[in-house]
Formats: sequence, structure tokens, C-alpha cells
Amino acid sequence: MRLPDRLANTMRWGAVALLALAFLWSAMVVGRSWLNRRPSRAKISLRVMIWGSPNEVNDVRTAVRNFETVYPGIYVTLIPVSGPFYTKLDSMLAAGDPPDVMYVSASRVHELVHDHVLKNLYPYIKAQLHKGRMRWFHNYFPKVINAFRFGRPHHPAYFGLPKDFSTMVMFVNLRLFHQAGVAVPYKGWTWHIYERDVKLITERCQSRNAQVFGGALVTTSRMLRNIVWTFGSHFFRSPHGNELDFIDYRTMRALHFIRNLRYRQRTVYNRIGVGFTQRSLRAFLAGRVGIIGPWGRWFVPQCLAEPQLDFDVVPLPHARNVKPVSLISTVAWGMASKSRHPHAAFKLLTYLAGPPGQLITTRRGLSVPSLRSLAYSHHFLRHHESPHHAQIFLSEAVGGRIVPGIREDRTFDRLLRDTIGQSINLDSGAPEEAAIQMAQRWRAFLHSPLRRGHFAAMPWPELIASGFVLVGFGALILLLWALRQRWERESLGGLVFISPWLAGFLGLTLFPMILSLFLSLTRWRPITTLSAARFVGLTNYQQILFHDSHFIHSLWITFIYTALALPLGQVIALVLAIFLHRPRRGAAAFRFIVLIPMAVSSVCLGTLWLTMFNDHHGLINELLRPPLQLVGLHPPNWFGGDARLWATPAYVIMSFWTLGGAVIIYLAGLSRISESLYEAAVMDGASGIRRFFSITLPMLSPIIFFNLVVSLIASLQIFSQAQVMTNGRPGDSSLFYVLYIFQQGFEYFHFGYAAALSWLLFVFILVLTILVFRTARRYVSYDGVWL
Amino acid sequence: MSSLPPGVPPTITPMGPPRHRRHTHSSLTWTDLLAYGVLIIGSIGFLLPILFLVTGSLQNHPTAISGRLHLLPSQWNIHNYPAAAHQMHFMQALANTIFVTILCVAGQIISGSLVGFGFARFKFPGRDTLFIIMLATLMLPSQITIVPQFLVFRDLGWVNTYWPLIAPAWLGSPYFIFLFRQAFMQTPDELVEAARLDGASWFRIYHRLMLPLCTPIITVVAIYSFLGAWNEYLTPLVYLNNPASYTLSLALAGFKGEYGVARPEYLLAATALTMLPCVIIFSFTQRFVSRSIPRS
Repeated sequence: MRLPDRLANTMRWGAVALLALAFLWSAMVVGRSWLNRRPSRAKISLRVMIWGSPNEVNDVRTAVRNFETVYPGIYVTLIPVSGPFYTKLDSMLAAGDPPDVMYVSASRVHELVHDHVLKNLYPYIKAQLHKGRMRWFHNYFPKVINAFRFGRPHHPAYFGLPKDFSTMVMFVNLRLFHQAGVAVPYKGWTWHIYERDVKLITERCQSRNAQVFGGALVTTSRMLRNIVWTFGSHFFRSPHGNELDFIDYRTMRALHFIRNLRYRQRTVYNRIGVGFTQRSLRAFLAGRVGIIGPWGRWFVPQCLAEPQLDFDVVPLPHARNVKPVSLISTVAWGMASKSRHPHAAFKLLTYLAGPPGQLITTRRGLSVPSLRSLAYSHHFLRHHESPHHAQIFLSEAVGGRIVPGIREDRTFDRLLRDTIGQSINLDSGAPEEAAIQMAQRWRAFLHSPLRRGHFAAMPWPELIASGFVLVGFGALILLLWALRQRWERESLGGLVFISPWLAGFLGLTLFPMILSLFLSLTRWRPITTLSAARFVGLTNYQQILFHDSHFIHSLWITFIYTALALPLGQVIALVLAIFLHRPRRGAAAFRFIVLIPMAVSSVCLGTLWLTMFNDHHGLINELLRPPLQLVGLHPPNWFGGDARLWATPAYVIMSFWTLGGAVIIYLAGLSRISESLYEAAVMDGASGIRRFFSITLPMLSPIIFFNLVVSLIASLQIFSQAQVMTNGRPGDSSLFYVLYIFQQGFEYFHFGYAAALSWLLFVFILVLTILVFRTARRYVSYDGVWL
Repeated sequence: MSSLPPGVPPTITPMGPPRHRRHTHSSLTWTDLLAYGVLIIGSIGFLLPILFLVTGSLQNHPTAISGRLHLLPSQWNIHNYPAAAHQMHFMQALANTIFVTILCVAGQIISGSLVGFGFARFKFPGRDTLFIIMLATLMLPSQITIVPQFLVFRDLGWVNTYWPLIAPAWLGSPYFIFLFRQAFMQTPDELVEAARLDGASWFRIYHRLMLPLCTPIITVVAIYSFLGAWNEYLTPLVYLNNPASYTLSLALAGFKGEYGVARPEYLLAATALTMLPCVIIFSFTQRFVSRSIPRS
């Protein structure tokens, strides 16, 4: 059926008109919000940067709006960041243009203070106290505010005022406790009783619909520390030292305890794999877990949203003869040292961290107010949306403990996840071996030349000066070279046509590339300005090539991924395109279908595909199980126990899903092959296969070549799906190369190191691409002649 | 005419391209059967996750947090959609995204074809070196140039505006330049020579001769750059400060809290809403991709 030309024409113009209307509408909306965005009278403008759930953002917005009505001269922009907070903060800090007020978590404050990112608030506080204001400053929970207190005993320095905190507790499902006939341990309990209770609940509460677990242990690095504390041990020898004290019998007892309950007795949630914590929390919300923890107050609103869940909180268990101890997790409001309006920013900060701001956030119940008067008031305790024993959050604070801050907290967590985490979260390897490995790696990190060495400042002025000289010199040589060439009018025309790209390259791309090359020779933390960079020579490269096990590993799995995904994907795409190209019924619908997956935002990929790849009820394993069972095999636990082997293939399978892009490129190429060629071949009596090899392939070769080069570059840089789905986990089984770069640069703040990694990748890709170009002459023909 | 195989919905035929049937068999040939087999299995593979996305977005909350996705939910909970749209300020984000995307697509097509034409049809000293340099700019991971690039855009005063999102599109992206170059290189020399002899200017050749020959490639670039701009995440994250100017992908990320996704059904519903404009655009454009160009 063919549309009449007039109708087709009308449709085309209709589509254009629709597009124009959509653009007009969007331009109007954008223009309106642009006009509305700044009140003209405000003299002082402050920026506040936060993270958090939509509810939390709304609370802060309310507080900020109230502040603006109290101080009409100050205008506040709230920047809620959803996603990688430090990617954004780093860019702003590196540019010397940070937000005035921002969230500062206790685990990051040491790094930020060390690099002079934060302003000492104490002078402002002292001035206020002197005037008799801000009496509520003495009302903070001492342990909570001390997480942000630095300096000597009589000369304190505060780098943040805590907005709230949470102690860790256990959440219990009262219905399951009742069903199992177990008493709820509101007064505290030992791990021994815990072990008994989870066993009783597991045995007595099994239902037909879904498996019930007596307990679930949250063992993220932070929570694992808390568990180890309750067994009477520490990770570090002294509170503020770097010396690990790992192979302690009490630490080992804790690790064995977890492994025993999970994998031997199976009374604790044990469906291992990426998203483990998330899934165990959801299982609790669905009523299938008796006790979950250690976990914090932020979980309460989620529990309250489940009407059928009857829950309460109890203290953490502890080993016999060990005092109960709960980890305090807290976030403060901090002020950037580069703030242009420190006095106004301090006003805002005290408003948000003080009684007015905390009153608003207390009502939401996401956390415990850090002001004692508020915490013990009816706003928090007798709030109608609160578990019955909400005071346990407060009583636990008495014996609570802040994670002793060290600067390399993230690196430590990372190593912990890769070693001990493998043992207890993936059931691979004994804890003792993991602990020895952890100790070795930590020592290697502490003693690496990059960390210990003293390096001179990066000579930026000299570099810039010599850069100018070099650029001038280069331009001169280029000019001389250009003058010796034969320039016809036609050649100049070519330059005019490519000028948009040239402008973009010289203006926007060249400088960032050169700067990153310079940075790869430095030790630079992106939370400081460029002037703080230290010149380390080739130490970064040396460290990467000879001492970094992650480098080899991530390069290897990235190569494996490319070697699988690139050829397979291109063949599949080409076959699909050839089948789709022939005008047959339904081809148009198929062309449409292959494109749809490309429209799915990467933000959602994790939620979608982790469910698809789930070991127990994911669609892929449901499909694979019956045929594999015939030959006595089981489908792999893709992102769980079998991740070391199967995580990369899982990503390859995922990559096929978005092949639609390559398919339409092939289709576009096929459609440009003239029909007359085929007709002539049919006349000559060429078979279908022969026509494919002597007409289709050579005529398509430029497009195949394009797809090869582009997909090669793109698959060696696989990043966004890996970041949103597994972020390298479990262990480092999906730590693809660019993901590793990203983590080094923005999570551990080793930006110079990340730049060096990037330039190594650049060289690898360049070499591979040149190889592809070299071989191209043999199979790419631009005029359709194969020969 | 071949009969419709089972499993192919009957509504799909009118969207097809103009037909140039070479074969007028009255029955299915073996290749046709094979082709339909491949296409049906392929489309099931492509569509199943989408189906999960849609049914997942219609689940009620208790089923959603159970972690299972059912192919057919027991209850159809359409309220997830208005709730998700409200939470992400859908209309404002949609307008922002349309504004940015249309400007990006226009820029990519114009600059990509111009530069691609320059690389494909002119001979000038240093052309191939420049082409390799252009490709090489793709080889440095963009994650590492985020911070240096921020310095450039800050000095231009473009932070918290849409310029960092739009301007690069108007200066040509290497991918699309490369694609256009491949297409332009394939057009026969005789056509260009003939036009030159007729006294046509280069711009006229580009505009009147080359572009119409490359409709499928233009469509491909349009689709690609549309998707790229529509789903771009890191650039808006770094450059946009004002929630009122957030794009859809940033608004989507707002569903992810600090401790994971609290309401997966909202995230799925919001994703489905975000996808909808893309799907509508596909249904319009895909017929241009495979349109054969009669040539003699």
C-alpha cells in the first residue's frame, strides 16, 4: 500500500509544523523561566548545593524560602544534585567558583579541610556567642558536632555545623517476632541471642509464597565497621592512625559469624550479587525479613510508607563483655572558603543548621536532629510518624562512635570492598586470606611514591609562557609549510567548509586536551585549584604501569568486552539491516522496534537490567534454566558469585540491545546502493550470495568501516551503563577502564593519576584505530569497485 | 502478495517505505521465512525489556519493591504516571529538553554535513592529518576533560546557561562529520564534475546536489543527535545549577535517592514518559532511513 503523494506531502509539512510549534512552545517556557529566575532587587546571591531524595530537597527548599523572607536582601539558589555530587563540586572548586554553602559528610570532611576547601566557622560563631546570640550552639550532641571539630583543645576550629545525624539500629518486623514467639529485645541483646532469634524466625515463619529470612545483615564498608566494633575490635590500631590492625581474633570472629549465618546456617538473607543491600532492604519492606541492620534513621519513612509492615527499632546486638556501640553517621552544613559573601553565607548556614532549619527537616523524620532540645522534644519523639521506640536512636548516641576520620577513607573503603567484602558478600575466600591481602594492599598504598613523595609545585606560569612560545613557533612553521603548498581556490574552499570544526577544535577541545596532558604529570586533587597541583614527572605513569593491579585488570576486561561485543554486534546489526532493507511486510515496524531501546535513558538501565539479570527470578535466567537443566547445568549468577567470569558477557548481551543505531546506519548505507547494479547482476545470472559479496559488501564497505571505527572507540570507552548498573562491583569484576578513570578522578580525587590513565587509553585506542585504517585500504572501496 | 505471518501486528503496513518490489512471488520463499524468523525473534529480544519497563511502571508499590517484574501486573496502576510527572516537574523539564534538543539536532546536521563535505570533496594540504586529529579527539575519554572544559566555559561565562550543551553541536561532532564524509565520498565524481562544468558554486553543489542525495544519512544523524541530546546526563549535571532549567535526564536522576531507588515504579513510569517523545519521533523519521534513491 502506498500513500498518495499529496497525502505524504501534507504529512511531511504537518510534521514540520508540529516540530516548529513544539520548539516555539519550549522556547516560550524556557524564556519565561529565564526571565523569572532572578529577583532584580537582591544584592547578595548565595548558592547552596545538596544531595538527597526529592522529599529532602523539598524540605531544604522550604527552609531556604523561609530564610529569604526573613532576609529579603539575600537571594539563594538551591542546587540539588542527583547523581555524582563530587563530579559537579570538583568542577566548581577547580574553577575557583564553589557553592557558598553545601553538604559536608563526616567521612569527607578530613579531605576537604586538608585541601582548605572549607572555611573555619569558629570566628563567626565566637562573634555571635559574644553578642549573646546563637546559644543553641551548645545544644548540639557533643559527639556529633565534634566530628567537624578540628584544631587544638583551646583553639577549636569548626568546619561544619551538623544538620542531623543517625545512629545505627536494627529494624525488626514485629509480626514475624510475634509469629515466632520471640521477645523483642528493646533493652539490648548479644549476637548470641541474635543468632538464636534469626534461626527461630527462619524456622517458624516460612510461608508458601516467598522465602522468609530471620535476618539480614547490612555489610557495606561503613556498617561492617560497626559490626566489627560490636565484637570489640577496630580496623585501625589507634583512633587517628593509618596503621591497620586487621588480623585480630575479634575481627575474624565477626567475619566468620557473618559468613556462618549467611552461607552455612542460611538464616540471614544471602541472595548475593550487585544490589544486595538494596534487595535485602526491599525484602524487609515486603515483610520477608525479621531483623535488618545495622541501618539508620533514613529508612523509617520508607518503612512507614508500607501500610502492612508493623515494624520497630531495637539496639544493635553486641558480643558478650563488649559495651554496645553504634556508629554515628552525620552530615553537616559547611561553607566554602572561597565564598564571596561569608557573612551572608554564615547567616544562611546558621539558619539551616540551627533550630528553624532543623525543625523543618525533623518533621520529615528522615534523620535525628542534631540539636538535643529538638531531638528530645515531641517534634521528634512523639511525632505520629515514628516507630514506637524512636528514643533508641537517641540512647544509642550515648555510646555512639564516629568513624575516625582519615583522609583516604574512600580508598580504604574500596580496598575493604575488594578483599574482605569478596569474602563475606560473595562467599569467596576465607576472611583470613582476605585480611592479609587487605593489609598488604593498604600498606602498598600508604607507601606508594605518589602519596609519600614531596614534589615541587607545578610551574604553571613557566608552562603557560613556554606554551605561548611553542604555539607561536608552531604557528610559524605551519605558516611556512602552508605557504610552500599549492593553494588553489578549491583548497581554500575546503578550509571554509571545515572551519566550524576547526573553530570548535581550537576553541573548545584543544585546550582541555593539553591541560589534561599537563595534569597527567601532576599530583592534583580536583577539590583544589590548579595552582595547588604538584609536579611529579612520570611517576603517575610509572605507578600505573608497574604497580597498579586494577590497571591491568580493567584494561583486560575492557578488551574482552570489545573483542566480544564489536564483531558479534556488527554482524548481527548487518544481518538485521539486510533483512530489514528488502521491502517486505512488517519491515517498517521492525525498523521502528530496533530503535526503541536506544530511547531508554541510562539512568533507568540499572533498575531494568539488574532485574533482568537477577539470579533467582530474572527473565534471562528463567529462559536459560530449562534448556540448561537438560544437560545438568545452571545459568550463571551474572553479577553475583559468577561475576568474575560472567559480568563482562552480561554487558556484551546488554550491548546487543542497543544495536538499533548500527542497524539504521547500515540501512541508510544500503538504501544508497543503486538498484540498477542489482538488476545488471541479475541479468548476468549472478546468484543471491554472489550479489551480496560482489555488490552489497563493497558498496557498503565505507559504512562498515565507519561503524567499525566508531564502535571500536565507543566500546573501549564503555562507561555510563557500567556506572549506573554495577559501578565496578561486585569486587572489581565490572571495573571497565573508563569507569576506573572516573573513580580515580572523582571518588578518590587522584585527578592527575586519572589523567595519566586517560592518556594511556588514548594511545591504545589510537594504535588500534591506525591499525584499522591501515587495513582499510584492502576492503574499503569508495566507488563500488571491489578489486 | 505474501500472506502475513503470525505474530506480526496488522497495523504496521502503512508506515512502510515506497515499495519497489523486485519479486512478485505469490508464496513465501525460504529466504522470506528465514528473514521473518530472524526478525520476529530479534524484535522479541528488543521489545521484552521495554515490555518489562511498561508493565513495571504500572505496578502497585508492594509488587514493585518485591523486586520481581511481572509480564502482566495483577492491577493496572495508572496513577504512577501523574505522580511521577508531578514529582519531576515534567512539563518544565520537557520544554527545556525540547529547546536544547532541537537546537542541537539542527546544529549537528548543518555543521556535520558542511565539515563532512569539506573533508570528502576537497583536496587541500594537511587534510588527512586534520581528519586523523579530528578522530583522535574522540579517543581521549570525555570524563577526564570535564574539569578542564569547565574552566573554558566558565571563562566564557556560560555556566548555568544552555550554551555548553548547544554550542558544541554547532561546531560539529567528529562522529557525524565522519559519517557524512563517508557518505559524500561515495557519491560519483561525475555528478560533481558535471555540476562544476555547469558553473555551480561549491555551496550550491553541497546544498542542491549532495544533501538531497544523503537524506537517509541526514535522518540517521538526526535520530542519533536527537537521542544524544535528549538523554545527555553529565554535561547538564555539571553546567546547570537552576532546578527550573534541568533537563529530563537530570530530573529522572532525581528519583535515585542517596540509598537507591525508593519507588522503582515511579522511576520506570518517568522513564516511559521521557521515552515517549523519542518513540513518536522514530515513527516519523524511520521511513526516511531506508528510502531508496532512484539513480541512473
